[in-house]
Amino acid sequence: MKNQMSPRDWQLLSAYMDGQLSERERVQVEQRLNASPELQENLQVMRRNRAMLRSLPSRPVPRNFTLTPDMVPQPFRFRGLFPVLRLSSALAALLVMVMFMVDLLPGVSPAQAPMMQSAALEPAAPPEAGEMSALGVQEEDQPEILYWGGPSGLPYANGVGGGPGMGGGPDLGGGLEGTPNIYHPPEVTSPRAAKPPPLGSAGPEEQPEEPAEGDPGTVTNDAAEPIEGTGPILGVPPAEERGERLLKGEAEAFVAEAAADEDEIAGLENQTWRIAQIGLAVVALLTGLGAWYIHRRN
Amino acid sequence: MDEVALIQAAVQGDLTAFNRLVLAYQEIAFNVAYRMLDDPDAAEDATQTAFISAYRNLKSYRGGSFRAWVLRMVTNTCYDELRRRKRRPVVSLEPVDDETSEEIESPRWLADEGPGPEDQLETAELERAIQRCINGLPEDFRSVILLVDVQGLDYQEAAEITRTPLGTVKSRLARARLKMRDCLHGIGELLPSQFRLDDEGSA
Repeated sequence: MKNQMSPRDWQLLSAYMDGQLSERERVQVEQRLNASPELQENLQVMRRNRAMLRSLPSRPVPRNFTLTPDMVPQPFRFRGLFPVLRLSSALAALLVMVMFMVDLLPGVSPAQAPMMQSAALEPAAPPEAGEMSALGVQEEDQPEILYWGGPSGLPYANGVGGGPGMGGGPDLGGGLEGTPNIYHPPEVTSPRAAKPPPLGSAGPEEQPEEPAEGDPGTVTNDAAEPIEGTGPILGVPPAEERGERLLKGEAEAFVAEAAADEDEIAGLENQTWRIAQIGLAVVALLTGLGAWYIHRRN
Repeated sequence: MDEVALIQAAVQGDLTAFNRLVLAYQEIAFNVAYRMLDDPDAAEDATQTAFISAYRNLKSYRGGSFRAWVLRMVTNTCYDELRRRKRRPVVSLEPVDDETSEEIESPRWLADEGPGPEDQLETAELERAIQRCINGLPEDFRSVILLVDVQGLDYQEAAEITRTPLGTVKSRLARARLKMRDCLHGIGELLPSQFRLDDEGSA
């Protein structure tokens, strides 16, 4: 009895024997069975073999396979922590992600804001030369012009004194001719005050205002002795400006110190922010590992 | 208590409930393992291992036939054992025929199967012959023909146990039957009268 059937025919016959064919397939197989004695013989052999296999005696079990407590792992006693650890891990991971995203946003990050604030407190960088010229600020490399005494004969002295004509005189901002130039050395020796007054702005009633009390920029150097002589001397600081220069230095030192303090505070805040990020990441990792371990033990 | 309630209790850690399920399915589990491995000791170990694995993985049970789910554990354990045997082949203590490489079935050895009258001896010999044919099948074919033809499960349950599509079960079963037909063709003289075809009586 050689197999003359194709594998497809054999599969159809096998399924037909088990009643696993559709109605259409079953009819087709039955038609072929009626026409083919070989197919009938194969079906008969297949049925016999199945009957033989099904008649194999069932072996009695040698023993019961019931489990004892020592065969199976006991439930992990910390299994109740699993949902807590899982939730903690998820929340910590979420917070870390949010903090990192905040870091990426300019101006929002707590780690960046103090730095920006301190940068604002720092002394402004010296303006460009063009800006300085536009602002009328005296450039550093130019010699300072200092005044003391009565700078009579100087063209701008007329402007200082001002004149009753309010610009109606022959000289813009100048006083009346013949009016003695009485120079009042300014008590306020702020940088602006040290500059010559603008043209046309001078008048008898436009004397420099009295400095307000407590104004840090105001220094009254009563002890300064009058310096003999007239006219500006380039490069020699007058006695009344010594205090001003000291004050300027102190102010710069104060600003620098404040900036340093701000930097320190900003650094501390930045460090705290980073520590919080790392701490949360560690918490997320540890709780995640704990949840994974409990899950595996269970 | 019905099976569903026992399963639910077992999932909650009730070992007693699970053991009642073990008692219900241990016979079919052991017989499938025995036919797969052809070794009662190995079948015993595989059955026990399968039930322990089933208890540990009860949470993965998603309903359906619990018998199929348990038998899947059994067949997987048997596959592992068969693979282990391939990696570390063992030498049988039974005498082996040099020509056929088959075990010599001495009367003493067959007596272990149950000494008795001559018909019992013939039945045992037939069983051994059938088992040899089963052993000659590829593992995938062997599990399918054991589940469907020996244990009488339907195709759907066999598909669940072997985790294969229904069409694959049909195909594997047909090919396994074809191989079994070729293997059993030569043992016509061993067949009891009720299994003999008309042309096999004088073989």
